[in-house]
Amino acid sequence: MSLSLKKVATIAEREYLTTVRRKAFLFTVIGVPVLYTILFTIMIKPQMGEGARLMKDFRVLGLVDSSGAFADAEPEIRGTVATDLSSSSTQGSKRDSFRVEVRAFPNQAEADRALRAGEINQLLVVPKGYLETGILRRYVLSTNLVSEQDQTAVSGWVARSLLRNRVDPVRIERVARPAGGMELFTPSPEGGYARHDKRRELVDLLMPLAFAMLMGMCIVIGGQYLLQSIAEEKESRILESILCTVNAGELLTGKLIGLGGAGLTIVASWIAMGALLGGPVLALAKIHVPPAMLALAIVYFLFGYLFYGSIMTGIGAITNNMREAQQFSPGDRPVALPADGACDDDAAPIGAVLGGPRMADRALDRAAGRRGLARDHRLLPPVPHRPSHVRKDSDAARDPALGAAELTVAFRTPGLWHFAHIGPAAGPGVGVEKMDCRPGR
Amino acid sequence: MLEVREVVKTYDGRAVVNRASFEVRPGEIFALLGPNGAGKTTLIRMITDILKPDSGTIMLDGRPVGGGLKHEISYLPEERGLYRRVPVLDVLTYYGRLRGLAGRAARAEAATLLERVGLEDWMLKQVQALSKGMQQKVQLCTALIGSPRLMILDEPFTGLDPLNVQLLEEVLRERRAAGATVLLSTHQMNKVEEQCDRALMINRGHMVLYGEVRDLKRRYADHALMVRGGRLPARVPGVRVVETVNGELKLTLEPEAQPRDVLRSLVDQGVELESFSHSVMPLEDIFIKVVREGLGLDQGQSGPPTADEPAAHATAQARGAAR
Repeated sequence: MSLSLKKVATIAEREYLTTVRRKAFLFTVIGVPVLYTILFTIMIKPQMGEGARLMKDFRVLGLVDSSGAFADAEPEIRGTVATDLSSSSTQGSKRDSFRVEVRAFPNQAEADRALRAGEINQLLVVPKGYLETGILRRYVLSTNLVSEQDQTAVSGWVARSLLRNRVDPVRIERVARPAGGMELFTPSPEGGYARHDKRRELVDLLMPLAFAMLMGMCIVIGGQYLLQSIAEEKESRILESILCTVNAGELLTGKLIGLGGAGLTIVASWIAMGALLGGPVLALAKIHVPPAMLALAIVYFLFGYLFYGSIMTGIGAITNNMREAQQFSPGDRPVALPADGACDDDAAPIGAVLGGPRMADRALDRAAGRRGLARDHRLLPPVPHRPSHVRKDSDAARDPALGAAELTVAFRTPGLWHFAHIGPAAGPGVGVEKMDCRPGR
Repeated sequence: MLEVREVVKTYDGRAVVNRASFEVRPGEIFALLGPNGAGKTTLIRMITDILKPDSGTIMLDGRPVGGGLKHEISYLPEERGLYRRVPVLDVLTYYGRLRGLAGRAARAEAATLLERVGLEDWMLKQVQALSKGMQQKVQLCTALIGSPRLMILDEPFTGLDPLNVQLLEEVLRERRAAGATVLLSTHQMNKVEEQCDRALMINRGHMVLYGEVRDLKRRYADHALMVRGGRLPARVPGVRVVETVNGELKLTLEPEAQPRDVLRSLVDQGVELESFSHSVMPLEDIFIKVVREGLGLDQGQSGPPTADEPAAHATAQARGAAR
């Protein structure tokens, strides 16, 4: 099949311009980054400086010392904590100082009352054999998932207190923070060694991930545009009159190029917006991307887009409209689905077959038998059955096996019910829309 | 211009188009007729290179259709649509560019066409803002832009009001005068009689009628005369039956009688005649007659008729069906 480049270019231009002029495209370019920035801010902002906040609230540490090792303990914990995300680093970050009073209690019951009354924030219990076993117990009313700054502070205080009056203060400080000032050197591009930059390492780790994600999104967006475009032309009966003038190869090549370009435009816009907003950070990071890597990225993108785009084109070609295209699932039904795997980590997932009551029944029998379960299952509502001689209907509303197929299965293990609810598929390439396993009585 | 030779297309073992052979001459309006499901659309799709025939050849100016000749053909399918959220002018410009026009020329021709069909005030509006009839005219323009040499129009009159039907007829005549060839598929037989030079009728994939429209009508004409005038004598030599049809007298002749002898006899008997003509069966009646007689067609029973002997072939098929 020969391709006219002029026609391919005309189709690509039309597809690109039509797509980028849509309001939905503008929303994707501008709205999505804004949305994600807001979400990111809402989710991440509270975590920033969490260590500093934790130490600000940490005013009093109760101590019950049954070992006697802390008789000469320091009466307070002093230190500094970073106020930004890079709390682990001591270099170049803003730091707040903190002070925690250490209050001794004669017994644990009294200390516990003080803890519950809010007089102290945490309680450290030192058992008798601590020096031999190293076992300590720390009591708190609530834990902080994000920061362990309090534990770090208490650990340093324990080290300092154990050595107090036995070793000179300088050594005590070194023992409390033995490698706090250790610098890591790694080979530099110049041939020698250079100080290892943790932020740079983070950037080196995150940037390829971010670019890979963007590339993936670009491929998926381009592919989705392709599917939408073909389905729209088929649905609105435009395709036939176009195919009279151009051949299928020219049409699909033009669409691949034009809509891939639209996907690239989105990602390029995001990168440009990111560079504009985070430009100084990126400049500080001094990112060096070898030209060969860029070339490789383009090759990966092209092959990825061609692969995904071909799948989307294929789906668009064999379906009659957008709705059908969205419902299309490569596996199609009947599909074996993991039903209650999420309920029991140790057990192998049970497969239930969507496609007919009898099939599901047999599958449940086998699954129950394999696991030695008390077989007591019910199907609610009855799963619609599509006879084997009936081909898939393009209209989901007319096809019981495509439409409202919902399966509820229940298994009983000793003393525990497992429920699994499986709903209809939605979206291209997706076999299961939802799978909700919740243990009951 | 277009030459179709022994073309066969089979689906699930059933020949949808069975050994179709015909030609469309340059500058003519050629009718492709047939009942629903006869295979017309399949045949058109093969001519437009959307489908490939199982066997046979389809040539345009001596070269196989498709490839470099695609822009020479335009197709207005029966089930048609347009990009709904795109300005009318852009839609037409796109079609024009696909037919090889440069961007500016395509835009200029699109504007001219829209002016010709009375949509000059709508060219910057989105297609979805147009009424159904207006969209129909835009669709017609998609088939006209780029001046394709062969235009295939499938039911182009459907959905148009009488004024727009007249407009379409005028446009077709203009295009024909400019050298374009039109292949018209329609069920409106009066339009075929008015517009088309030649016609092909297919039924269940078989060719059943093929030739000049006037020849087809003549071949299917009754052996009768239509007379308007004074009172007839009680007996006219050579006339078997006299009946009144739409205010005229229809004289069905004896098999051996010649019309000129009957006319002479009437004049000799002093009948004052206002008009005198052969009785011609409307194409619609021919269509119904042929299709009804051809319902018993068996696939592969018959070969295609040549342009020289379509009636004989159709008659043979009708006989076969009667048996």
